Amino acid sequence: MKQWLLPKSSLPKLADTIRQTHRLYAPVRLPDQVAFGEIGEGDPFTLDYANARTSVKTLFFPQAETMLRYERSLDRYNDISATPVDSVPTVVLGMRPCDARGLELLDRVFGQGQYHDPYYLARRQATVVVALACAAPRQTCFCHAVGGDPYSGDGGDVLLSESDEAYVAVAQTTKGQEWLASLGLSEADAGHLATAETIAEAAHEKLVKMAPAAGLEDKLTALFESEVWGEIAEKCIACGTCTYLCPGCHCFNIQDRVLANGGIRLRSWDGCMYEGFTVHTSGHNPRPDQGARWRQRVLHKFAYLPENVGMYGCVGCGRCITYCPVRLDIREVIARLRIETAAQLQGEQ
Amino acid sequence: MSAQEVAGMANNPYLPMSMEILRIEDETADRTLKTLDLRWIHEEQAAAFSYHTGQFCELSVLGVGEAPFGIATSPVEEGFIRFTINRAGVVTQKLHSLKAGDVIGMRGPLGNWYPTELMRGKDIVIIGGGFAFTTLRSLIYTLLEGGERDAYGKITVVYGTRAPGLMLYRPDLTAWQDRSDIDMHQTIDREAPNWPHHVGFVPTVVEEVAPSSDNSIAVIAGPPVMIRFTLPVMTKLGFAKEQIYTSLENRMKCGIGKCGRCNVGNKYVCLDGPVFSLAELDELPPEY
Repeated sequence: MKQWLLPKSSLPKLADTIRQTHRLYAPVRLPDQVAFGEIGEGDPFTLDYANARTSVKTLFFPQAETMLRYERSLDRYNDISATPVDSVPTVVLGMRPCDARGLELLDRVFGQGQYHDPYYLARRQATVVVALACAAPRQTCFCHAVGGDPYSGDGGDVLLSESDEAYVAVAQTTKGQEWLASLGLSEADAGHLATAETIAEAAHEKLVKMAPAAGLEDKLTALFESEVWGEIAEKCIACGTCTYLCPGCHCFNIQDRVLANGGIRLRSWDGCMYEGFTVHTSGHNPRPDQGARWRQRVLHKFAYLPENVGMYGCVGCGRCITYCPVRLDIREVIARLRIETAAQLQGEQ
Repeated sequence: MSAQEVAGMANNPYLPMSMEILRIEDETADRTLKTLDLRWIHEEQAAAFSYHTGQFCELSVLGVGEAPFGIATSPVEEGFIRFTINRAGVVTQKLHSLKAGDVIGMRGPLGNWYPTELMRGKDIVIIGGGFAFTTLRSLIYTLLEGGERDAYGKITVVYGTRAPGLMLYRPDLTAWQDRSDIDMHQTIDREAPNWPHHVGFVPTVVEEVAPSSDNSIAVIAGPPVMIRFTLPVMTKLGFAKEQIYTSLENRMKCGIGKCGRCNVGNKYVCLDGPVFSLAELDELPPEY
C-alpha cells in the first residue's frame, strides 16, 4: 500500500482541490466546541483538535431527517413519495478513528440483513472518509479497550498519521486508494515515515490503562435479573446525552408532521434512556425503570451487538463520560460488571 | 449494492403502499374494535404482495403516524387484506374515524409467521383470547381453506372473550362451529342469555377439552394473564416448550429491525418474531 505525504501547509489548497469535485466537511473551531461543518471557499477548518463534541455520525444519520413527503388534495391523500437520498459526492476530512469505527458499526446495522436503510447507505457510499489518527489520546479515551486503536483505520477510506509538519496518508479501501491517487501527492520519504512511527508509539504510551472489555459479551446476559442495574442507574437523570453524543447509538423514532399543504414523515434520534421509548399504548412498559433502561444500553452495546453484528456498540470515544451531567462513567460500569460477572460465576460453582 | 440501487423506491423499506378502505365496520358490540378490509390502489403492488399467516403490517395515516397490526386475512383470500384494530392510541383513534374509500398507507408484510410447514402431519391446537384472535383467524382460515386440509391432523380451537359481543369474526366462528373438520370451542367468562357454548376462562376450557399433545403443535395468543394460566394446563397435557408457539407484541416503529426499541434480548420482535416458540422465549429475558 502506498504511503503518501500530505504537508500541513498544503491543507487549504487540498480543501480547494477537494471542493472542485466533492462536498467537504471538516472540523471547525466554534467558540465553545469543535464541530464538523461544510467547508466553503476560504472557510477555516482545523485538524489540530482533540475531538468534536458531537459524533460525526450526524453527517450520515442526521438528528432529524425527512424520509417521506405527501401532498394533500381535497379530502384524499395522494401517493406518498420518498425523499431523494443524498448521494452528493462528499469528503469528510479528519474524523477520529473512534468515530470512523462508529460508522463501521452503523454500516452493519443499517446495511446488513434483510432490510437496508437507503438514506444512511446513500450518504455513506457517496463519501470518502479521511480518518485522522490520534497522536494525543485524552484521559477519557478508551478505544483500545473496546476493539479499537488510536491508529485504527476501521470504517475509514484513508488514515492520516501525524509526522511533524505533515501527515502520512494511507488508503484503507479501494475507494480511498483511488481518491488519494487523484490528489497528485508525493510519496512519503523514509524520514517522515520514521517520525510518524515514533509519534504513534508515543501515542500508544499515553493511553490510559484499562482492561479490554473482550469476554464480557458472553457473560453479561447472566446478569439480566441482577440488582446492579438499579444501583448503576440511581443517579441517572435520563437526559439521554450519552445516547445522542454516541457514535454507535442509532435508535430512532418515526413521526409525522403536518405542513400547510401536505406533510412529512421524519425520523429523529431516539434513545433507550427514555421511558417513552418502549412504553406500550396500554401503559405497560417492558423496561419500567431506569435500571432496566441502563441494562438495555449496556447489553445492547456489549452483548447484543457483538452477537448480532460482530462488534461492540461502544467505540471508546469517551463523550458519554465527558458530557454526562451526573458523571456516570461507562468505564466504571464495565469494571463493576466485570466484578459482578466474576462473582456470579463463582456463585454458580 | 450501489447507491442507485438502495435509493430506488422499490427498495425503500420505509415507503408505504397506498391502500383504499373497502369496508370498515365495528367488530365488537362495545365498539372498541373495528375491522378494515383494504385493497391495493396500484395493481403491481397487489401482484407483488405475498405473505404468510402470522405476519403483520405497519398501517399509517399520513399526518398522524404508523402502528403495527397482525394480518387477519389468510394468504388464500385474494384481492384484499384485513386488519382488526383496537382503539387505544392516536393512530388507532384516527383509523377508527375513517370511511370506506379513504386511503391509508401500509408497509409489509413484516416479521415471521406461524410454523405451518411444521404443522403438516400433526394435530393443531389453537388457543386465543380477546382481540388477539386476528392472526389466529388467518391461521385457521389457512389450514381449512388452503386446499390442503388433509395435510393436517385434528384441529382444535379454544377461543374466549369476556362476553358474546366481544367475539371477533362471528360469521367465521359460526361456520367453523358447524364443520366436522374442526373442533371449535367458544367460551365467555360469565353466563349470558342464549349463549350455547362454554362458559368459563380459557385455561379451564382447555383443561376440559384436553387436546392431545401427541404429535401436536399449539399456538396461543391472548392477554398475558390468559397465557400465564394456560401454560401450566398445556404442561399438564404433556405439551413440551418446543410444541407451543405464541406471538409477541412490543412497541415498534420501523418494523425492520433498525430503530432499536422492540428487542427482547438480542432478538427483535419485528424481525425475528413476532412468532416465537416457548423454547425460544425460554432463552430470552422477560422483556415484553
